[in-house]
Amino acid sequence: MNERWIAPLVAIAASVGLIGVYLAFGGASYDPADTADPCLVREDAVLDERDVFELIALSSLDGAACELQVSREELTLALADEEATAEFAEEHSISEDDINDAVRAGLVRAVDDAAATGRISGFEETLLRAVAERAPVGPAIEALQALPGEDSAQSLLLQLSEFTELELPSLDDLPSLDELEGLVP
Amino acid sequence: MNEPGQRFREVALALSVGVVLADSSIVTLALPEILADFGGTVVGVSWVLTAFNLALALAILPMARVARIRPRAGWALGVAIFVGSSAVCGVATDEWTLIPARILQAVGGALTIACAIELLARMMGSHERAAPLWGTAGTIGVAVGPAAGGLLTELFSWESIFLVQIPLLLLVPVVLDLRLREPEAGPEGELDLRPEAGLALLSAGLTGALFLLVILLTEGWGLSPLGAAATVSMIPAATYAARFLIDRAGPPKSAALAGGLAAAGGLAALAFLPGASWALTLQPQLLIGIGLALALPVLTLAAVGGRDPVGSRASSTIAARHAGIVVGIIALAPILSAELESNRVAAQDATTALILDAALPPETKLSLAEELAVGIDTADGRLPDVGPSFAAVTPASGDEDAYEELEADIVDQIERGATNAFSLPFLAASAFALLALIPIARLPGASR
Repeated sequence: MNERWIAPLVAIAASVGLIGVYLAFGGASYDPADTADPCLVREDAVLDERDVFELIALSSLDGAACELQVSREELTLALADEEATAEFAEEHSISEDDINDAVRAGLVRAVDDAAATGRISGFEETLLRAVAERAPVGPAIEALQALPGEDSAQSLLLQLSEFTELELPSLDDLPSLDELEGLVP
Repeated sequence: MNEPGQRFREVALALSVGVVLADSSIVTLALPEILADFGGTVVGVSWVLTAFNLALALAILPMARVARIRPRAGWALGVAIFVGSSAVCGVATDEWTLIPARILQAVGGALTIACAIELLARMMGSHERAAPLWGTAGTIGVAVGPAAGGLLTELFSWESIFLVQIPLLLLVPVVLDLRLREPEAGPEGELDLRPEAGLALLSAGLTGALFLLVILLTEGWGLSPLGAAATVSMIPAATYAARFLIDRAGPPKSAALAGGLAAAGGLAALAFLPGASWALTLQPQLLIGIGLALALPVLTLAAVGGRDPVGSRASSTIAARHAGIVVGIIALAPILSAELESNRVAAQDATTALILDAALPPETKLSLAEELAVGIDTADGRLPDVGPSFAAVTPASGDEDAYEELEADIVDQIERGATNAFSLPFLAASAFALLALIPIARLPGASR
């Protein structure tokens, strides 16, 4: 081989070799994990571990994110506070009402799904449906996600009152579901 | 000339060259601290580095003319301007003071180094004899710049980088009483743009290696300035250790081509790091250092053209190198800024997914999310340290393992985002080194 090519060829071999080793150890895929497509059904193993209220919150976020064509995570961060919601709406050229409508539709669908699979029924289902249809969506999602381990309508009411700053009575004080529906904003 | 103290004066002049050229890279490790103090953007704060190199590149050739006429007075004036503006840099409280002071510092610095080669040539008999000492002082200055800056920033503050240069003024009386020989006679060598272009493009790539790597190590991976300084010292160490290879790499043009290829390969390898560890940067740095050891001497010699009666060719290599640094920073900073933003969003989404899907009670996740939000606010645009946020929340009994796993996963996603943001900028830096192959390939059979 001509002497003048040896050094350049050695340099090429060393460079390609080093890059090849780094690629073999995952150098081309060392980036943040992709978020899951909210329009696809999540694995049962993930969903089964959730308490029912949290499951409904996550499921409604998926449904709303799918409708708005964003990731569940982006929508979650957008619902964190009013400023974040306004920024999200501006960035995606939609109104805050569009976001509310999408999340509410997601909530209603999530309650339907939970009822269809038998995870909720009776009073819980009625209460959740009332929340899904009428409560401000941000506090409703936050309340569902923040519930302590025990799933109970009483806990949901308490949590919701915390997030909406409403004074809601204890379930024992409620004479009927009609009255409850009247209290939910 | 054998008068007493000549050696001391030579060292004093070499020291002035080293200190001035160290300033072209000395603030690299201080940039994150300056960014934190002044606020603003990565692109904005990069002008603290860019302004100096741009002004030096533009001022050096006119200053070489001044040096020919009044080298002694020019050197003293250059040092005075350099030291005075360094003092202003050291007390600057915003970029509107710091950046103009850096420009003035570079103008004074250009006068200092242009006069230094002239003074050394008249002391030592010729530019040819003076060039090795002058060149070595500059190379050492640029090489130790980041480490010295990192050390001072960690021990004291970024301001101390500029304040420690003030004693340079003490050298002025030592040099002012020099007795000089008459200047060398002879025509000025003809400017050859090919090696100058090669030097500029390689310098642009080298800027990528230093500027990007330092920010990745300190801001992305949380290394201390001193740790980062030690890590990036691999390049000058490799360049120094590999200097013997130039005699074994075949004809000079082949050595320069091999050097350009190795530097480009090392920079490209940094774009494909498989993890967030400083140790993984050493092998690419080794390749870059070897590449510079092979390419820079050939290009510098080809640019100076052997004998350099008026010293302006030596100054033109400085202009070419610093113009390359400026081009590198101006091109790479916006790419890095855009990549940091897109990876920040990706890492934030990945982190949110981890928290939403974590097998932890909802109240734990909510408390943690609130603490993380506080941590992100406190970080003020820099990468947040999630450790304190996790420490602030106590997981329920039995959830400790899942909690620890979540913290490790979140740290991993943040490090992935930070590392991935530098991939495209490193590839762009590699492209600069590859472009340097064009002028190198067009060099005549360069003599060594």
